[in-house]
Amino acid sequence: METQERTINRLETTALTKGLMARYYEDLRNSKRDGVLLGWTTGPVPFELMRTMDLRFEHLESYGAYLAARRGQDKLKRLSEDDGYSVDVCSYARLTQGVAMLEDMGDTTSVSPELLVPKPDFMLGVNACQIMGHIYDFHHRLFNVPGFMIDCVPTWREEDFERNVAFTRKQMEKVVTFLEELTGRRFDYDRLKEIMGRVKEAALLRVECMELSKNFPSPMSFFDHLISLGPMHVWRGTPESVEYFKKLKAELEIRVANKVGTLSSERHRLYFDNLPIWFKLGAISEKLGSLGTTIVAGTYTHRCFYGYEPENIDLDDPMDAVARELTYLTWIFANVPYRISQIAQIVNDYHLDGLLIHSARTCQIFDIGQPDIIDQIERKIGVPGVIIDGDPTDPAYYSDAQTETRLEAFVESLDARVK
Amino acid sequence: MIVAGIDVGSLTAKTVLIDETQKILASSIVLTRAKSRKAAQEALDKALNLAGLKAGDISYTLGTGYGRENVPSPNSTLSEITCHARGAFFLIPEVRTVIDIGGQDSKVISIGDRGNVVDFNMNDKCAAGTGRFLDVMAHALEVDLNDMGKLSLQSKKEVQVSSMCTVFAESEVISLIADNCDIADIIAGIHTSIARRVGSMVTRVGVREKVVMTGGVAKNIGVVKALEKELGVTITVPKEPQIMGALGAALHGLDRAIKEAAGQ
Repeated sequence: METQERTINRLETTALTKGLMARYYEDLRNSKRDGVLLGWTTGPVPFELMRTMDLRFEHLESYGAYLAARRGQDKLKRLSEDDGYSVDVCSYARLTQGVAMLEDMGDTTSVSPELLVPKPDFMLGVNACQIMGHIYDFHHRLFNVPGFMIDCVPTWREEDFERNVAFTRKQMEKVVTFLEELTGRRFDYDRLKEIMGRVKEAALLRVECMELSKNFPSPMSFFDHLISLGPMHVWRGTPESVEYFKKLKAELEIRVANKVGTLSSERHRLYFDNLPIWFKLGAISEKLGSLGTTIVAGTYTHRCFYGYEPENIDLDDPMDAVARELTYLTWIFANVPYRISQIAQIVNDYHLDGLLIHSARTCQIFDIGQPDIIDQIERKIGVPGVIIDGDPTDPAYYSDAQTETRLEAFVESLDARVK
Repeated sequence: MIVAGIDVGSLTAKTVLIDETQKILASSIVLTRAKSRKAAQEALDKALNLAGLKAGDISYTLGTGYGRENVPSPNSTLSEITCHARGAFFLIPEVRTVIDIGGQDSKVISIGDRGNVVDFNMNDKCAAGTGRFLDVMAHALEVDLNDMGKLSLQSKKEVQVSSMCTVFAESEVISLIADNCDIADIIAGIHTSIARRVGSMVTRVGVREKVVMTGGVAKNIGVVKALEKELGVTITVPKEPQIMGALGAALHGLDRAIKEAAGQ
């Protein structure tokens, strides 16, 4: 495969996320000053309910991704490891454990202050995986603040889905009681409806952006979708979130009209499964770009964060949508046959010719079934796949040379299929 | 027209020179050591010398291997997976599975009827089941790496080396030496350990005959026999298995040179 220089055309709108995320973390750091309660959260917790109560919230996984690309993460992980936690423990968890330990020690100098989030006033968690439960316990014991753990039942069978939605919903109602007791205020259901309206509006716009990315050449990559998660994640339910996706959609429409793609020359379009390798997004997209290859869609971006049928969000019953979203995440990740069916559908819809699957060393629950996914997709729709080894945030489990060799060899094998 | 294929691996750098009829004119293997750029040049010079040619005689150079960026002025590069497949297919057209065990990684490549790569599997970021693993074990046993193959054939009662991790396996081997186990039996155990590790990678891709083994470890008859036993197939080893990547690189280079000459 000849590596010619190809530039990746970056979207202007995605640059806005930098400011949004900086503002989000600044708000977290200023919680005490502003007299707003701050929660530390783990797993797919209902941000909408906390937003309804005007609470601020840190979120373990997005915080881990934020820390991953920044200097000082070694120090944070080291604190967790020094405390006896294995290097194989979820790297998101180890990073935030480090932050928690620094906060507990009152150490504000070992890492840059922008990396730190103040001690929580409350905790909210979902035991979406075993580690989430343990990390919640760790923080809860350390800070000894009020907390609520949402019990989440993985949906192994399709016929259990509605039953599990009902179970999650009951938990959500308990979360409301918890938040009311925490704040001493009544939960405003009309406010929730209003927030959910914005969630739906942003989610629908995001789906329209996904639809536009089906074009040839694709105007938006999986990497752009990843960068755009902040507005649909910790910012969801806000006017800023809706505004962001309006701008993004408008920019994509111009690109489509002018036939401008992420790559100036797009030869192959891939699918990405599993969590991203946050600290290597640039390197992987550049490497693939140099091979005339782009990643157009992925499970994480296209099925999570209200990516699945947001048109069904019932604004007259916003609690249902909140419960449904959380339950859906346990279905897409726990149920491999369902995940395979969704991947096959997306691969067909987006006209993709290969799967790139990340085997995340410290997130083994999401790694379940990867060889089966590759075999089944190849068998069902004749699209091949390759696995790359890495980790969401820990560079110790990643090798540039090995990844590059796999990507090049995979693209070369796609080229050979085309011939 | 002379085309050079240069494969810069972690332990050795290889060059194959071919002419426009795909005839192999010369090949060379040199140690990479700490400087892969220098090794690539040395391998090229050595092959040119053997063929009685000068650098100026080369029309096209294609680089491959982990150090492909260090190949002296390449016209293009390709991954070693594509190159090993092509090299093995050129010499043995019936090949459908290539097992390549090099210095720092092991790969299994499934090959289509046209010599194309259908699927492949590689080891993760770990030296288990690679040439480096054998290197460390040879050191622990104080035997020459090149003698391990024939020594293992003298084994009468193979011992089990259960650790996959190179570091753990080394301490396990040291314990076996301390227990006065026979060296040949320990080496046979080490080879079986590699065969188990690589065997599961082969099974994942699917064993399709003919199975060809390439890379430096293919020169170790003990590993070849252990893999044959593990997989239940006969394994063919080309005369010089270490140069398959460089040969494939030269063949792809020739295709590209011809295309370029035709203005395509």
